[in-house]
Amino acid sequence: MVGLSHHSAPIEVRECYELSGDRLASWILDVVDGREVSECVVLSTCNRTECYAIGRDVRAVVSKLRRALDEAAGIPDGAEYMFDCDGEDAVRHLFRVTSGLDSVVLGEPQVQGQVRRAYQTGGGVGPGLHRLFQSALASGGRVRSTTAISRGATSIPAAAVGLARKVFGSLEGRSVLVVGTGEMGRLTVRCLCSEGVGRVFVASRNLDRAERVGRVLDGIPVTRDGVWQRLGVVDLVVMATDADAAFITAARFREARHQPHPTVILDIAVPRNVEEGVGELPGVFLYNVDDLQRVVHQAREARAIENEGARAIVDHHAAKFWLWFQGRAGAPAIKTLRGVGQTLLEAEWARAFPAGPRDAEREEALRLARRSLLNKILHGPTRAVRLLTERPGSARTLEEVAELLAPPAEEWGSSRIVDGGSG
Amino acid sequence: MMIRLLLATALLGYAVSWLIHLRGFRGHAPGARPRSTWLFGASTLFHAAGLLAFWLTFRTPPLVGFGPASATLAFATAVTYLAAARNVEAWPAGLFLLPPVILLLGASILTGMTPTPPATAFRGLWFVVHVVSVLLGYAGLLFGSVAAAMYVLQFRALKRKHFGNVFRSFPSLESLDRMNAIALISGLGALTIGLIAGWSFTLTFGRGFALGRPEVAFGLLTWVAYGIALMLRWTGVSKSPRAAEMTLVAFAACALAFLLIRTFSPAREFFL
Repeated sequence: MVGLSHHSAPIEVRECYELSGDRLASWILDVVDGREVSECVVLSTCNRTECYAIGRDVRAVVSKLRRALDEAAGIPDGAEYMFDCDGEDAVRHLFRVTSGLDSVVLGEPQVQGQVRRAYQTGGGVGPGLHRLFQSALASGGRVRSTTAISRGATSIPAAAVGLARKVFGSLEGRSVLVVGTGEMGRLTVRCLCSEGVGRVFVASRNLDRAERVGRVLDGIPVTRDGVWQRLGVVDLVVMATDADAAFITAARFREARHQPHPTVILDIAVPRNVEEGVGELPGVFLYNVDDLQRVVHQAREARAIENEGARAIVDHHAAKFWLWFQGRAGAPAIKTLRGVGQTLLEAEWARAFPAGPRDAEREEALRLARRSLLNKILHGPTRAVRLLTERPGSARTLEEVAELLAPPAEEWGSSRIVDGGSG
Repeated sequence: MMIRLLLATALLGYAVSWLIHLRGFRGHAPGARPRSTWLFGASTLFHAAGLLAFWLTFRTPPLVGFGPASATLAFATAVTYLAAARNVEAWPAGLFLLPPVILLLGASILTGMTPTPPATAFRGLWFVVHVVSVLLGYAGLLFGSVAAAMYVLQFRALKRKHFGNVFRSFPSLESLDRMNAIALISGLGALTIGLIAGWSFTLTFGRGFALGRPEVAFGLLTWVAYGIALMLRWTGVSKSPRAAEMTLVAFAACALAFLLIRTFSPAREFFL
């Protein structure tokens, strides 16, 4: 794996290395040449650009990817921003990224979808990376279902939505009044809108501004007088003005309400816009920015507690994948070994027992005996190859073993098996 | 022996299921819900098998006598919860519903699962319909009371801004209020059917509807208490959270009545 992330590079550098769409497709075509790099997937998000590749020589692959990334970014030498890892470390890194353990917000679920899209839409996927990404996604799913790493709200707007949902359940069709057009207020209302709220009323001192923001939020602009009319009837109120002091008092609020009904007031302004006494009224749930931050803080603490358990799950799955991957390296050698053994045995058998009328039952017994003999003879060498796959850097050795074991079959066809072997 | 073994297995399953609920409530096990639901379902099957074994052994349904009736009431409560828990939001109610199920079943095993001798006189379809409907009614009203208690707890947590386990694990106020309403309506409906069937049963067998009998008095009192709670909700006199509080008042009145009747009534041996 070669890449950069929010840990190693600032946003202005990460933007340069971003790869997507046609630019990504042509980049992968250039990089995957079947010689040095046989497979490659690029994960490119706002927080990271990471290339996962499989090739013959780790150092050569790393060097090639770094050069290709720098060229695409237009940066002569991005060494200070990039990092690389290989083998089991690279596997573990991908598994941690997919599970949200390497994200800015611990446990964030979006990265799982980003990894899936990168793997599904990238053109350089082969059998190795296919299995790697499938395993990473499965591990991420397991981490999220068995730990609480993704639970709870980790931002003020998300906490606001969470509190509103605890009162109302579904927010579909609920009415919202947002007073003030500040950034946080707009973000909060956007979050609420994504939950399917019904009508949104936007109030501001300046009606033009209310109309402008209303267009952005698909809301209805209201005047300052309209605030008091709506205050008593809407389900959710978001207060985000820059008033110097609380102007929504308990007395005024009581007057504005026709009859008590559940109302959630999210007072995210500093100084507060709503008097604390309003929260004592029947059916009113009043939360200020401190309350929302407390919800966020508790959620983050809970996630941090889950981190260790999540890491243990990820490391276990990564180790399991790595074991499989190493075993795969020995497959050609084992296949060649068995193929040669089978060919030899059948050739010698045919010479010893020429074709002619045979007893079918005896034939079957002899066939089973041949197979058993082959398995016994090859058990030791097969096991040795498997043990060899567990040694680091054994890929070249395994290739040489496969080549050594596979002379052309006609060389063996004319010789006899000599007892004890010849010199 | 077989009856006790089956019921004891069910009891163990319920107990472990409750422990999983507790872990889920404390936020330690996000995967708790499917595990405890499966275990609870399996335990209910053992419970059903135990009741069926009683019926086959003694050739009378397990409806009369403290032991058999408690076991059947526990089963009715378990089935009511299982039906409700198909909705994921109802799952946390198991934290409060499982202890009564465990207590009732445990008490029935300890006191003995054998029919009371005069029980042989209580036969016939009317009797079965009467008792089963009444027990289902009690189970539904118990579920409604649990939902009401959870509503009050969640309401207080939200009002007082206590963002702890109750806030995290309990469903929304809207969901709890809906659960309370549905449970009250279905529980009261079943209880009504049971009381009418009981009245028909006594008319059929010429016993008369003796209001002095403990089970009759308790059944009617329960019907009236929860009926008032439901009427106040329907007429809008008490909206949530008042509606939840009225349900809890009805539950408290019934619990007190049960204790008094069970302790002092001269005919209490036929009363649950």
